[in-house]
Amino acid sequence: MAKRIRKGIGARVAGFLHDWSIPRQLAGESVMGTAARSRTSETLRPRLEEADRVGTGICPFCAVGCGQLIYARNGRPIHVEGDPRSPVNQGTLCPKGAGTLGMLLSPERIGTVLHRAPRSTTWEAKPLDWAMERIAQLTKRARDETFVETLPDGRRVNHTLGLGSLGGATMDNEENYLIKKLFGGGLGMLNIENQARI
Amino acid sequence: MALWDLANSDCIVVMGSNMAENHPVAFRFVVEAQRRGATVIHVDPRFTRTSALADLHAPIRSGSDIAFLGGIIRHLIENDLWFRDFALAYTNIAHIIEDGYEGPEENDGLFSGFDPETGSYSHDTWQYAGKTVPSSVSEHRVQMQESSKDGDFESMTEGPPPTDPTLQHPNCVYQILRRHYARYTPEMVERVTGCPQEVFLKVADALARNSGRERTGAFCYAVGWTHHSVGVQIIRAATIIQGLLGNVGRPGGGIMALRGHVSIQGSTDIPTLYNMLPTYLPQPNVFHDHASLADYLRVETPPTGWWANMPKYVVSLLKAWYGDAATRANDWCYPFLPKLTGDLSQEPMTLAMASGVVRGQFILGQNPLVGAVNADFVERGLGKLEWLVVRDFAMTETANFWQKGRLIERGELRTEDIDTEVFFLPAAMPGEKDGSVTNTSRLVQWHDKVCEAPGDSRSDLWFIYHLGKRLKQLYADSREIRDGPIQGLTWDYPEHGAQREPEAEAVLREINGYRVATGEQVPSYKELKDDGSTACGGWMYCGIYPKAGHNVARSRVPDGPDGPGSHLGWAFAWPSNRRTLYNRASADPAGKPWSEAKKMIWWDEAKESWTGLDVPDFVETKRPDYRPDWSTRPHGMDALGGDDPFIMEADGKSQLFVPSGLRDGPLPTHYEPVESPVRNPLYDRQITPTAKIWEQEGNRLNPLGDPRFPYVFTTYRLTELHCGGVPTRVMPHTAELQPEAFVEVSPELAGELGIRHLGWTVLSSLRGEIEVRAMVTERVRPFRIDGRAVHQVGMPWVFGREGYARGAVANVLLAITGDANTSIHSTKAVTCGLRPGRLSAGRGQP
Amino acid sequence: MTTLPHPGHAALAALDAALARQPRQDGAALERATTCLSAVRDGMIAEMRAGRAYGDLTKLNAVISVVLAGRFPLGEIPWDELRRARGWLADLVERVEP
Repeated sequence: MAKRIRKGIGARVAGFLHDWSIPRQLAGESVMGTAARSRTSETLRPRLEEADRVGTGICPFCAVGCGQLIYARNGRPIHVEGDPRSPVNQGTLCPKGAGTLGMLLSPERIGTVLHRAPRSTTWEAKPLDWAMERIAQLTKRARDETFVETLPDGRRVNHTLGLGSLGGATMDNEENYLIKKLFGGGLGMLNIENQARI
Repeated sequence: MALWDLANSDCIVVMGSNMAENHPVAFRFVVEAQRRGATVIHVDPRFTRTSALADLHAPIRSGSDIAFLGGIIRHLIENDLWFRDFALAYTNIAHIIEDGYEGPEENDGLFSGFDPETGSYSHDTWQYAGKTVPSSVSEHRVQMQESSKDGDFESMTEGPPPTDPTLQHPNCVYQILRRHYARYTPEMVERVTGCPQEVFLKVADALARNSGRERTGAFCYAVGWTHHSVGVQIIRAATIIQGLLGNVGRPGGGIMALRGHVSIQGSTDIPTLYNMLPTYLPQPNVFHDHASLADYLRVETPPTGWWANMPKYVVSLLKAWYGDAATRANDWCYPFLPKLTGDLSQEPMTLAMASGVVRGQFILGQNPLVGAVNADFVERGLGKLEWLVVRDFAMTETANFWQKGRLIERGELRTEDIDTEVFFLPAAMPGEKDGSVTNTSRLVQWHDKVCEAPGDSRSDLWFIYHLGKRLKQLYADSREIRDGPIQGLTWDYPEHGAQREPEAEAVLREINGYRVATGEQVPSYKELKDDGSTACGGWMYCGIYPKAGHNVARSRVPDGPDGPGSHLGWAFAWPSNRRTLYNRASADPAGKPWSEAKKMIWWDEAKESWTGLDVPDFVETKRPDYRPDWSTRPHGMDALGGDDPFIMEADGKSQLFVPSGLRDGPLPTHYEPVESPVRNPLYDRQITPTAKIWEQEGNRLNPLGDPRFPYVFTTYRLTELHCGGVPTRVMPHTAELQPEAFVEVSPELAGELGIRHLGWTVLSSLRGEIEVRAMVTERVRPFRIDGRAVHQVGMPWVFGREGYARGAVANVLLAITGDANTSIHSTKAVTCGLRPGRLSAGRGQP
Repeated sequence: MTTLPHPGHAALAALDAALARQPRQDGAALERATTCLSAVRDGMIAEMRAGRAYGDLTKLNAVISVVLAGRFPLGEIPWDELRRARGWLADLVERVEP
């Protein structure tokens, strides 16, 4: 019994040394290839195999526009990697782009509407529909109270400086278009700015 | 130029950017060029990873860029190292400027036309002799009142601007350049920038050596060039160099703006900006002659060059926005458009907000309490709002200002006294919505919706669309004329799914444009009309959705290894899918490539058209030998010759000297930053006389020579943390890699002040104080300026108090100021105080 | 919200001070004028929400637009416009702060 155990240990040590990747790496095998293989790695499968959906993404950080492939399962992202087809990044990503999944799945993410009433000391969760209606009402009221249709001498300005909008460079062209169209073309807001100037 | 085109460069100067760290994937093309033999140069105050990978690092004091670049211009001219055939043919180097023109040499550090009472310039003496030149840049037209002097621009149709091809005329641009940069000698460059002259000369020679018919060079810059009181002029200095060297519109040549957000280019083109309508049409101004559409078009449309087409783009935009309501009889609803009265860009509006002018504010994916200068001032303004809507995906400093702000922490404000009603609306992120984004080289790429956003998170498209629907309903019964615009606005986009998500592609189809009668897509902006028959939300994007079912931004066919390398099948680059603007300049005046090695497009005599490796940026069938018939008073493109590549300019020439459009001078001139410890060694003028300075309580500038603020202070980003910071500060991996804020201090300064590596320090300015740990490093070195040591310290501005990676907000130290042309703030060269230790309990103003 | 005893008169005085400096811009006076005008507007809005008509509010908003244009001009300072706005404001102040 003891002998068998001893033999077992010996075999296991030998097996471990055989499987252990560091000696093979020290012996010159590539860390990117066979030297990374181990008994554990034999059982590993790429997580993207579990995906039921893949789509093209563009890295959401700087303006280089690296292509990404986003893999999802049951509507939840499980993997993000560089798109090897893209002539911009040819599959590569920087630390921010490579961490995109961590942004999508960040525990700090907030999924509910929060509202802070005037002078209140806390946030309160609110239904989205309630917030949308209240924001629409507040927007209308602020516009109506600050609108200048004409200067007193009759020159038409059709604007309000009592409403502002900041942001846009992190968003899609279609989103920016509708913001400028509604806020500028519809409500007469001029104070519309984004990160492009700063 | 396309990002990948950098690989075709023979010399790349990265300046005003830490490209290897902040745009690392684009930097691959710089490395590729280097492997092919290119010389890579980094001009920067700090030694960064970009410097480490460069062949040469030229250190310069923050804010001395124009002295350095001006030195290069002088070197090229005095040593006759410029590309004469290119510059003579394609730039205004031979143009003759008005007699009354004087530069800083003759005029005490100022240009002619300066009014000391108002602190502004008149442009009359900067014009081509006998002409009035319209600015091609709408942003600048919005800012100038020259546009109301209508009629003068017609002088451009009477004949070409006067030139002296022998370059002898004392007021030709060549001679003006010589005089202007005469004092930017290598000795002076060293005195102003602190860069040893032999290093400076190596940079100048590398650029000159790698330019000409067979070779091209490129500049790469980021906000290290724009965030100055003279930001536009720094970039202008590079355009002069590139014009002189022939590095425009050619493979591997150009000036690459490395911008910071995924669609910052898209949000400039289709602007969420105050002064432009989509794709660079000026927002009308009530103080200009803009009362009717006819007035607006008459004064804003340059008679010559491509911009003569402007009326088609304006009318098509009005049709896209106001649909059936827009008729010829009502000026296509032009009166609906809000008219400007003043500068409403971010900095002025921050000041106006603090004065109580703004009652309701939307903040959409931006975080001004970290990203905007003078954070305490911004915070005070937020507390004056009646309501604030923040859309983001995790808590931001801005949304939480009322309970975690610095003013609350210091006891200057109490949460219970802040009246602002605040909403936080969770936003869907990339991968959770579809749409298009435009990268820094105008490449518009579509992205897919792959997964669901959690809970009540919605796309910004959803938010703005449903807000618009509710508002249209609220205004539906109004009889007020003022409510006409919201009632008339077209707002019919298909909705999908349980959440009634609007269809992003439908919006892109409207941006592209369609025929009003049939609803069919317009394939090209050349087919847009000014008669109301076409609608188009952004003329430069026309062609992105040329026919039903064909979204070109979706196309994903890169060139193979043996392909031309322009990747015309990968996404869409505006305009017309061309990858290099002004690529007509890649061929000589006769239409032949300057060299086989640097060919891009050329004239095909057999086909009688332009052809090549890119989509030609020219009238396809316009012969190189075409010359305008001036006897007919030609307009539009008829007024440009077949060898005038710069079609957006009124005479088709690149402007080394800018007659119209700049508020601070026709040529870049070194002035010190608005805050500097150094007296301007070049002129008696300390700072540019046109800088926008808004000193008031809470926004004072550190005076020159104030012993409390002896150091140059600069800010920057980190590879791992992005801008306003929240997305990357809540990402576990990136937050772990850069867990805490720090200030970089040279060993010399640390020794002088007794600061230890990782010890606490306090940084101060008249705007506020912050505490942060020191990173004592040789990456930062003192400069020898005008005979004395000038210390510089630097700090990343990406930290805040939310998320996992936290630390002091560097922008607390900065002042609200503006570049004369753009109102962009200064973040790269201000002054500060520094001491070891921590803030005392009564932290706050010094 | 700012509470001043007579913000309308204070705004007028600030605007007069700014106009007296022509052609030089007086940033501090224009800042004061803006802040006071906002205070006047806050008061008028509060009254309007309590049920009073807001004809004057439109005029006040126009004054704010022009004063802000003087403080943050695009190109030259619009002095003539500022003077005109001063006249509108004087009418208005007479009514709201007699």
